[in-house]
Order: sequence, then structure tokens, then C-alpha cells
Amino acid sequence: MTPPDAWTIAAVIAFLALLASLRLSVPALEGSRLAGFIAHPALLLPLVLAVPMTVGLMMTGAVPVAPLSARDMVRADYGYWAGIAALITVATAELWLLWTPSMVARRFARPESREALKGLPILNLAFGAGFLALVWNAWS
Amino acid sequence: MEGDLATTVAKAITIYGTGAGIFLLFFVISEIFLRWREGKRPLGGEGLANIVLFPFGPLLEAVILNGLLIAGMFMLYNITPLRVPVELWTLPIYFLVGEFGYYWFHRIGHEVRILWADHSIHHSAEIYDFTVNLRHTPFSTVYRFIAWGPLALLGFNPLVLVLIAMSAPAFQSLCHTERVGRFAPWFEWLFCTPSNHAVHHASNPLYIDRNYGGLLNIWDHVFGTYQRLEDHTPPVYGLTRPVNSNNPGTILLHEFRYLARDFRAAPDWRTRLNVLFGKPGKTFEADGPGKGMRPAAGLEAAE
Repeated sequence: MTPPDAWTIAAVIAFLALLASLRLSVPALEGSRLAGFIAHPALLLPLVLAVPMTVGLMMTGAVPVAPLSARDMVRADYGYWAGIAALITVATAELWLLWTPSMVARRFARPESREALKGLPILNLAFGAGFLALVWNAWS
Repeated sequence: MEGDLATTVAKAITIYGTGAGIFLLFFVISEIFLRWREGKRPLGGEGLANIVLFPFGPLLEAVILNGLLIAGMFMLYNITPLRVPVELWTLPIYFLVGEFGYYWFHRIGHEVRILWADHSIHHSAEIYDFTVNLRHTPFSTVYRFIAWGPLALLGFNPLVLVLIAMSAPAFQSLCHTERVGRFAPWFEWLFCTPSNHAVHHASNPLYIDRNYGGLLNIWDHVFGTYQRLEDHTPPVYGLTRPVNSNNPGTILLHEFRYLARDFRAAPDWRTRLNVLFGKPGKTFEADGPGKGMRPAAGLEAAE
């Protein structure tokens, strides 16, 4: 086991933010008290910086699209825990590209907008997948 | 060393802006898709105007003005002996201070008339949807520097400050919509959300000059400018003196025209300075106060 370092804290924060993202993304977790505690929405705050930055880094080819490749690349330069933080951050960024925004919109939709928002997850998935495929193709 | 940092700032801004741009693109496509699903014109006149105005911000800001902003911030950072280190434990401080800077950048954009002439471009949209975030203003970097410069003088690292400055508009891409309702009360109190940002965009008297926060409403609570969306006062979007046009040129020059007119007509220099730096709606106006304003919709609803 690699001893904890400053990156361990980053990995833990990234993990909690991933849990909070999953809670927003999976309707079944909406009412869970446990999920409400360990995946509190306030934990999403670091993502305001991390997600656009990760997506930007993917576009420049500095970070691979595949989370495991991102882990290996970052681990080689900065160590084990930095690799774990990168793995989680890339997975979280991809969750937000593919799914989470549409689920947030649907969950908190005004009654008059619910019908129109039903189709949004498909659009979200198509947009995110298309974007990731383009980036993958450009840098592989 | 400082030159390296400036290069890193420029690179980080480009990377962050590109990533945030992808989400903005998704929201704009979603807006077009949702309007189509709702049986509306996918891109109305105002939506098109928003898209046309988009390059004014990014082109002017990203290419010219952000370069000046970074140069100016580093100039101040280099002349001060103070340094606030960028460590894990100082990041929350940076965040709160960055939010403080954003709050004042945004507040002076509303409450100093010459700056409002620029910022009002963003507020002139009368339909509150995702495309409003494209309605950029050309000169916001100028007042960003006014608000952020003192923070650089206090030794806060410009890289982190500029990234935080950019994170608020990126986050607010999510907020420009009427389709999403209220979140949990504590979340509405603490964070910028579609409903409390709708208040910010409304021209009802109850809502004017409220909710300046970027990501958080903390500084609005501190300075008494927070206002929740009230059920009895539906928001009326746009300016109190509406543009009534989707012509991008007219939208860009709308408040500047009135500013120039009032400046020229002002009887003395003291009044002229007040026209430039006074609070919008409280300064000398050539045709008398309140002409061309829309009726105060919020008052009737609230009474």
C-alpha cells in the first residue's frame, strides 16, 4: 500500500464529488438518507473547476479519455494517489458529459417543462458520446 | 519565474475555457432541442441575437482584454511584497476571496452607470434561457480588473484568481433557464441557482440589483443584496428601459447611447461625472427621470 500524501486528500475529495454526482445521476438514490449524508450536494463544489479543466485537458490531448490510461499516465509522473485522483476525476467528468446535466434538469424540472425534458438524457448521451469519440479519435 | 507563471495562467485559462465551452455548447443545443420539443421556434430572434453577440465577448476578451487583465494583475502582483501561498489549506481562502472579487466586479457592473452600459447588454434579453449566457459584453474585463487588482496587490496569485473568475460564468451556464425549478432551501440560500439567478435578471423593483454572487450567495447575504424568488412576484426579464430590438448593433449600443446623450446634455462637469459614475436610474437624464421605462411590474404584483 502506497503511504498517503497530499494527493490522497485530492483523491478522497474527488471520490466524494463522484459520489455526489452519482447521487444526482441515479434517480433511485434520490430519497436515500445515507446517500444524502455521504454524497451531499456541497461536495460538488470542486467540480466547478475540475470538470471543465479535465474536459479541456482531454481536448488538448494532455489527459487520455480512458480513465485507466489517465491513471497510468498521471501515476507515472506524480505517484500512486495522483493516479487514483486522475482516474476518479476523468470518470466524473465523463459522467457529467454523458448523463448528469440531463438528470439534474429532469429531477428539478418545473411541472410544465417535464414533458419536454423527457428526451434530454438521450441528447445528453449522444452529445457526450460524440464528443468523447471525437477526442478519442483525434488523440489515439 | 513570474513570466513562467503568466504563461501558465494563459494556458490554464485556455484549457479551462475550452472545457467550459463544451458544456455551454451542450446547453445551447439543449435549448434548441427543448424549444423544438415544446413546439416553439427552435431559434427565435432573441436567441439568434444572443448567438451573434457571442463572439464579441470571447474574441475581445480572450484575445485582447484577458491578455491586458493578466498583464495588469501580474504588474500589481510583482510590485507587492505580500504573498498568499497556493497550498491545499489556502484554497478555501482563495475561493472565498475570489467570490468576494466576483461579487464586487458584478456589483459595480450594475451600480456604476458607465459599467452598466456594458453589462446591461447581457441583461437586455427578455427571454431567460440557456442562450442568454452567449449574450456577452465586450468590456467586462475592465471592471474585472478594478475588482481583482486589489486582490493581486494583497498577494493573491493571479492564476488562481483568474481561474475562479472564470469558474463563476462557467457555472452560471447552468443557471440561465426557467425550466428548472427550485432546489432545496439551503441550496437556494447558499448557491447561485436558476431561480435566484432569475431574480438577478428580472427588472421588477423588488428584484433589481440583487443576487450578484458567482457560485455562492455568501457575499450577497453579507452585504444585504440577496433576494429569493417570490411566488407573488413573477420575474419580468430584461431592462427597465427595454431595447425592443434584436439587432446586435442596437443591443450593443443601447445604454451607451443614453449614456452619451445624458453626458452631453448634463449642465456641468459635476453632473457629467455623476452621469458616468453614478448609480443607473439615479443620475441626470436628458429627458427627465423614468422616460422610456417599462411600468414597474413587480410593484403591482407585490402589493
